[in-house]
Amino acid sequence: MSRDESIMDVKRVVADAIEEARDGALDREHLERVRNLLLTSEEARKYFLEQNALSHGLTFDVVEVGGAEQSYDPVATDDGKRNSHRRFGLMHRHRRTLVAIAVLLLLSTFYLIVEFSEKETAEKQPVVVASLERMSGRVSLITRDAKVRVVESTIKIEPGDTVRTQSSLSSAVLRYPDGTRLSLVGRASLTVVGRESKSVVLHGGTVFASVASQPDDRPMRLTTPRDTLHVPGTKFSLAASADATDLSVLEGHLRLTRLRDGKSVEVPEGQNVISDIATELSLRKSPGAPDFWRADFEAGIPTGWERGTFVSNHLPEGARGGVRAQLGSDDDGGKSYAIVSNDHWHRGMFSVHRDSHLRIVFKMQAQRWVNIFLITRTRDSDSPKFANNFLFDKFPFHKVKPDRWYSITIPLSEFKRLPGHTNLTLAELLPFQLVIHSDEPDRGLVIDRIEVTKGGSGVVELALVE
Amino acid sequence: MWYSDFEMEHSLHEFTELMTGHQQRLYRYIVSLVGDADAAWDVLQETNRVLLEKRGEFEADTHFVNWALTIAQFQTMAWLRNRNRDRLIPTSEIVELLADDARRMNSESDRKIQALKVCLERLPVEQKEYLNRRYARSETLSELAERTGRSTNALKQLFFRLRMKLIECINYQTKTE
Repeated sequence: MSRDESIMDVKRVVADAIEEARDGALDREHLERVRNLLLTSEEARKYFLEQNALSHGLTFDVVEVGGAEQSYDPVATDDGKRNSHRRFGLMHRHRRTLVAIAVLLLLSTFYLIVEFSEKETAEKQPVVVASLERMSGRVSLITRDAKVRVVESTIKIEPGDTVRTQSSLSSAVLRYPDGTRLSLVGRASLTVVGRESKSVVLHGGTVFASVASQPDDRPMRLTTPRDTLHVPGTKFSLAASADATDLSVLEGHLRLTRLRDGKSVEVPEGQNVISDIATELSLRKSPGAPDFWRADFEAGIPTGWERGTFVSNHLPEGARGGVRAQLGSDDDGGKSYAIVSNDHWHRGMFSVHRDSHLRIVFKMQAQRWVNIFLITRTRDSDSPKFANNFLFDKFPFHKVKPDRWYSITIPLSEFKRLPGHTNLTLAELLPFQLVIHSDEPDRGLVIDRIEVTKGGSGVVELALVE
Repeated sequence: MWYSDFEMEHSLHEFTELMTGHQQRLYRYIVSLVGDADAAWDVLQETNRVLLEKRGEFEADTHFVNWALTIAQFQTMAWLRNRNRDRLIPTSEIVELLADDARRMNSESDRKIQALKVCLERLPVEQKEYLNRRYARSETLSELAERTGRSTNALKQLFFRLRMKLIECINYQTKTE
């Protein structure tokens, strides 16, 4: 489904709900569906407001819609009934104006004779529902009045606030007074909407949640672009985007309801469910990080890929796509040419074994250095943290002839741990992102494919690709 | 500048005039949030009551409409919180998300109403009459279906298309003004 079709579907759901609500015929299921859409979709909200304003204009502001009394009337089969409707319409509008004036006069009179000795102090106390703690990397807060600020220390969160963790190394913890914790990691965006019950909208990104036991009639509600989760008291991890929701329950259970068609599934402990356009909702055992990983760019740049430009010419025989290093900003504020994968915070990019190897098929424009980084997190599944960068800096660039395709195979044991948060080995951690930096003057690093495999020679090997 | 006693600067009469002059705008704002004419009317009454109650807090040299719309927003949310089980579409949480856009749209509402009048004039007579029946005369889809022999789904589709057409026309009109 294209984005345009998807927006049209959203509009149709909202439009049907408005028409049904106008007649008092909106059923509970449709009501919940449209509410969820309004919570999660900016398009739905914009359309809802636009349509309400239009209804109001058609009903009250534009009194005579096209001189119907003199015109051809395709729907009039009963003049008496038609006229009674017309009279009702006019009286309805007229009554409102009269009553509005009457109410104002009454209120004014009332306030003229009442003493104002007991004026309210009307101090506006902020309603704090949670706090944002343990920030790391770039984190910002967008308040409900659209002010944006960078957050570096613990702050109080009010309904309507949106928290954004802004790079693959960013994280923050939203903590409620009952101990409920939502850890946002990587690039994530979440709006707190609940005032009296816990309710949040995850616009996108990864969250590790530990939700304390909630009242039976008020489970925590977490809405993603595709689904709503009702969480009674559960530990789970979740990666959400406009395309898919990937949910794994670690402890307890929760209910996932798909917004598209209202289908629900109860997800018990240890189970995973993926909600996307292509697959039916079905449970499976929560998978761990895979042993193998690959990106071949045959169908374009993968969704969420952070840096790199798609190329389709001058590739090895049979290949249809590759990725070229792209200039961009680094986390330290500098600029460099790089290829940066999508982040796999949720369950890791791949597991590292003693015989794991990275293989890259590439070409370069000049003999310039290339550094390869693996970004890792801790392996714990309920609240993982950024751990260390691991670097391979022995890329044999001096052996590479410009514009020829090569394959390099690197044992992962060749990656060195850089100073960071842990002293753990690469095998004890989980890589969640791959970064390949090239020397700035070389804008010609192109990669045809990247693979992580098990088994290999255990040494760095460079070979020409025929 | 804040006034602890509004009467120092403005009489109740002047304040009531301000309120009366902005009733339509307040109503439009509330109805755009709740989507229901009768509910919006209830909220407007409550908003009027609170505006009068809090008139001492009105910052005299600031914009009355902004102040009044803020109170209308909170009254809408409070009203919805007390009626969460109703079949109205928005909840107080949704209103929080809608409020800023609704306010922006509200500031353009007079221009859009003028544009709507122009756009309606351009519709064929038959389509105008359907809109007249549905909105000005408050006929339900079932009533219209019975009178015309069309299914309610076909009518929903018809109104969906008509409304899309009107929105496109209004946006075009207001952009080219």
